[in-house]
Amino acid sequence: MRVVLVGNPNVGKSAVFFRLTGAKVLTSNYPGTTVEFAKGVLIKNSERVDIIDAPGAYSIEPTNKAEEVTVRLLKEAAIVVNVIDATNLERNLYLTLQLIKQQCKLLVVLNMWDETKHKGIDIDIDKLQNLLGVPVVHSCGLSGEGIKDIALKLNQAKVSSLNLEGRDLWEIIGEITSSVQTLHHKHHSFRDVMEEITIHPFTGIPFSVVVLGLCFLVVRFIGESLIHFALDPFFENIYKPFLWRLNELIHWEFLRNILIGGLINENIEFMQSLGVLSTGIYVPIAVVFPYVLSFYFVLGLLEDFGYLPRLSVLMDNVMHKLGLHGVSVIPFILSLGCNVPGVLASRVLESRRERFILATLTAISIPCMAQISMIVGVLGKYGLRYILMVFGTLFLVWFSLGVILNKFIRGESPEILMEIPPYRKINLYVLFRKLWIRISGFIKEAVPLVLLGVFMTNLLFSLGVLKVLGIIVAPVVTFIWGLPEKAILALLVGFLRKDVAVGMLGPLGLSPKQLVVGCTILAIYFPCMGTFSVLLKELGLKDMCKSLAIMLIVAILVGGLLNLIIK
Amino acid sequence: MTMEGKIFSLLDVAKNIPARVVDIKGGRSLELRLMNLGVKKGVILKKKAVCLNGPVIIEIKRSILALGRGMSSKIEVELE
Repeated sequence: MRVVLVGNPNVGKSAVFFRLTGAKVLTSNYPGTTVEFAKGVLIKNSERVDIIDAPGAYSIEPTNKAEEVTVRLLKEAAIVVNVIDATNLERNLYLTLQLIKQQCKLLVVLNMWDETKHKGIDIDIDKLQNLLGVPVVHSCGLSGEGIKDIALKLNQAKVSSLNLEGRDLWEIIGEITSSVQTLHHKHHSFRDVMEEITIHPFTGIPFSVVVLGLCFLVVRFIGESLIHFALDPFFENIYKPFLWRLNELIHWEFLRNILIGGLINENIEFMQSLGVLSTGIYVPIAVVFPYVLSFYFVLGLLEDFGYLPRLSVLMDNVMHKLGLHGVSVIPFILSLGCNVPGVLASRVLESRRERFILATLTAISIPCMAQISMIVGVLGKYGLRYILMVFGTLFLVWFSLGVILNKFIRGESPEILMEIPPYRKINLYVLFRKLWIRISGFIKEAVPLVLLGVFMTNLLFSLGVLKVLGIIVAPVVTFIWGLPEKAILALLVGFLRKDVAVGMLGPLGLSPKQLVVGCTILAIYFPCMGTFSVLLKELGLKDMCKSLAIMLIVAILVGGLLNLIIK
Repeated sequence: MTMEGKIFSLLDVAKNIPARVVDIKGGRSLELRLMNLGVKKGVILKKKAVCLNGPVIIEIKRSILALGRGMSSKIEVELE
């Protein structure tokens, strides 16, 4: 049996889905968290029920790629569970009535039931059930309340006998809500005040500056504290002596080189030795992980409270210059964690043109957290100004390339039309569960690739493959970018993992200027493997090739310019 | 002076006063996108804020929506 969860964006479908199946899905407080469907299994009386979490949709006539997915899923559903935001029946019932009209076998779930009390809303469920002609249950996805009822009543889902032909759906909704819903007066709460502050530009803009500044400080504080007080002491005092012991035990030099790497001034240098067990372990665990953890913690807070949509509205103007609209702020922010979910999130945009611009700009000029932390790690000792040069350049590339693409790509971009959800209380369990999903994903996917990257680097070094490649691309690398031939290796490894690639610049003995050029072009020139595959999936072969061509051209130009400008 | 019966675009209408949508002067696709969110002829909405030269924020039923300026200029309302 196949059950599909369908509902408006941001009504908590994924939270209900997680409670029903235990599957690892992310939940947030903004429309468009789920852009792809997720599958899970519910075992009911030893019968297997496949449950599918569909992207949010306002209607069964799709207006973007995420909604298209939902409409396709609907066609294959045996039972449709329509999840509704109980605090906003007026808008949510539109989709419900469309589903009734489509003769879907339907069960309606009034989610966020706990919020109705806070908002002074009373809903007569029995009456609603009678009017709709399908079973209605209530639930709270975040706490898990009422989820059992959904599972129990799945079998009672039925096709409504309500006849809607030729009637205005919004009119019927008016009739239904006025007869089942009673509104009470409620007092202004802290969240209402916040809503007022952040929606008006004069208070909202300064507020956003403060919020983003705070986020930056908190990410840095948590990341640095983890490194200084926990990870560095561990690696220096416990792990390094262990590596020395291992170093003494291994007599075969080739293996020693692969595992421990080269000694720098008679010492194992975690950032430079390039051994699988030295640099390969240190980079993902002690340099990248702390910042990935702190970034996703802060991102989770912003997502769950509901701040991101307000940022979208405030940034709408800027995004228009890039041929996008405010909603694209969310994919860009996600990309700072990792480009892969960022590019996927482009599905909430309406036009192909916007998706192309967003994906290209992301892959070129938004470095992921792993890369950011390595750039800081490699350049940090030379001073803040070099770090700023890299990020400043990327920012300029982001903006100017956006303006150029907007000018030269045919067509027009649609305007913003977005629902702004209310602020919601942050549920710590949900917040930390999400953090865990993201962090365990990072460890499972990134660490093996980093190890592989370091291993390959070592191998390529030993096998002399570099010399051949060196002759081919030397003109660009040495002449235009002013880097030594060996830097080609970093460009090769960059396809595997960008963080390792940045790390490899360390042992090459580059000047700060060369490091700035190297770090910047590593961000721009080509996507990493993961991003490459989503670009292909989202853009198609032809558009991806266009996007890649832009990347290479921009990398050559920007690298060359930096090489000329920086002294 | 009475404002009743006078027609404004959503861009020009005063803030925080309930207004009724009388016409949407966009194409079919705009009409559909707006309709999905409950913005259609006859409904009552309230303009809450305008973000500098950016989107118009409205309250409709119990949701808050952000609409681009071009879109807003195509929505005609009259004060209730």
